[in-house]
Amino acid sequence: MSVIERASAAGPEAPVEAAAPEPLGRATRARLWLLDVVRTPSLVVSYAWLAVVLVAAVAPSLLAAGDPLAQDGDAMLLPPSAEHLFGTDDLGRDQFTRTVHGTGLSIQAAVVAVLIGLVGGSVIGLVAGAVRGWLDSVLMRFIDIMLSVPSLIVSLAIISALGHGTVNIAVAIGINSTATFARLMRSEVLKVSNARYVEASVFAGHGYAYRLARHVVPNASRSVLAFATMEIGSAILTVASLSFLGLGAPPPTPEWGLLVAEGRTYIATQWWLSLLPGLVVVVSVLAVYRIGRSLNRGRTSVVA
Amino acid sequence: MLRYSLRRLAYAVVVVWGAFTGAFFLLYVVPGDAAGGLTMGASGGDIETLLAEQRELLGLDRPVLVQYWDALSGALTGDFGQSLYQRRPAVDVFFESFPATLQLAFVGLALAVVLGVTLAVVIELTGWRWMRELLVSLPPVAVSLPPFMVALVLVQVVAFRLGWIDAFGDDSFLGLLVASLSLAVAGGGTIAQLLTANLRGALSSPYVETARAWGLSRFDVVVRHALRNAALPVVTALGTLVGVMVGGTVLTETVFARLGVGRLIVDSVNGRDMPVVLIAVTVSALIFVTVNFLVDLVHPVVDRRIRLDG
Repeated sequence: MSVIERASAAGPEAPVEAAAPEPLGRATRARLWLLDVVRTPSLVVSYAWLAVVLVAAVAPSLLAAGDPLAQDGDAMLLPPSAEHLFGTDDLGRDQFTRTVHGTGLSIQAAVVAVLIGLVGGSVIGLVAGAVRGWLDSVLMRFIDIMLSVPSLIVSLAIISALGHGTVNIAVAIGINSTATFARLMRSEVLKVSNARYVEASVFAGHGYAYRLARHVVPNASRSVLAFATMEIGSAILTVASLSFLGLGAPPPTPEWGLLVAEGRTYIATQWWLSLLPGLVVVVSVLAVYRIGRSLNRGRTSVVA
Repeated sequence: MLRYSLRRLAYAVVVVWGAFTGAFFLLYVVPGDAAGGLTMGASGGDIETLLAEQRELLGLDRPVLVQYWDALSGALTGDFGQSLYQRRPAVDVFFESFPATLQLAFVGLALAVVLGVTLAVVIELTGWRWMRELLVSLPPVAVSLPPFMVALVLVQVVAFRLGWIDAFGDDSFLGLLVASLSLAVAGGGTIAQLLTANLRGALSSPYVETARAWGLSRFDVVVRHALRNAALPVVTALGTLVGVMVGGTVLTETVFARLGVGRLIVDSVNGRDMPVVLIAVTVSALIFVTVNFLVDLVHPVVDRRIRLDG
């Protein structure tokens, strides 16, 4: 009797556990991930570069002790040397120090942009995918319309409404990427809703809200989060592009895109002034994309 | 086919109308006061006169819905209002610069297709392992390069080092080619990434096995058989890439100092010349729906199994 009772009590739960998507424990997965990273040199380099960028963003003085705004009339437009790694600009400011100190603003803007897109897009995508019906159609037509205009032009239009500034750039890019996140979240929600373990949860007698919170959202958000790491790379690019166009922080502030734009005046002779900070942008984006691709492996294919 | 086209037309109208409406409310309502673009540098009483003049020009003293209705019916007859800066119809200002940008974007797209397809095919054909590894690593790098960086390097090398083109506003064919190359790098990388993945899938399918068994050369197998079937997702991606190209002209035209819509948009955003920004957004959406419609029409040509039904 007691055996039968136990079996029937475990009954409804059993298929949920059997169909659960993670057969490995957390510790095992962490070890596998670490092994994967160590075996791939390009991943090691990417994580190392990311670590340096994060240090530069949080504590720039550790990497470049000088004042990014300090001018030196005796050291104008010097080529790169041991003393001035990236050379000096037309006011004798050390370009390396300025690049390091500009990291914080650039990275911050990119992260804020992705967070806005991630939160906004996930909510829209979840509502559309979970509720379906006319609301789904309306929301998706709205997303279609947003995606019909090139993202750089949408960002420019939003900035002309909000005004210049790094925060506004981040908001513009964030609103813009909401569309992509919403589409991905919706398709993941639809995919997960058809999975066996969700079906099992229906038969287990779980409520709609419980099923959504316990099964659909966690499983759908994994792909969306992995995609978000890729989006940080794109956001770094777009932030740099928009501030290169002069729509971000006003001139004395060090910021990656702005440094490239300022150095552009001397591109014929002192090319390092714009190309070296630009190279920092390129390597950072490469590193983030590389990490993003390793996290996206086996998920919804993403072309970036 | 006809029913399909009609449905697509209705969809296109909705998208373009949506883009126009969204942009209108964003540009004219969100800022609270779209006037103010011309007041920079003015002082005291001048500001009030200029602001009043601009409000009248933009019709901002009327209720929002009246403004919107006027803007929409105006837009349908090709009237987007006066450009604040140039004091003439925004449509004229925009379409004056339009051909140059369209040319740049399409040469960029063509270059991207040529570069991307060539790279993907060469990756499949090369026999040397190290060469293959090297080439496979190129597309991810290409998509990580900011367009303005590529443009700056091209200006530095092609214009200043080699002296082949003028650094500022070169209108020659070579100038156009170099400028569009800066647009094509990222697009070519995207195409190459898509195509290598698809080619790999196509090359492991039975019909390729058959072609090999017939004794066709490696080149014939890849180019004449696998490529055709791997091309479909690339054709679809072209629809998105056109938008990327149009957006990218903003940066390319700035770096190469070329006249065109891209620079016009940046200047208009800087000066809050709303009518010009509005028309730019609307025309971008129009280009998008047109190109995607064309892409859909091309699908059955590439893959005969596809039929366009209602």
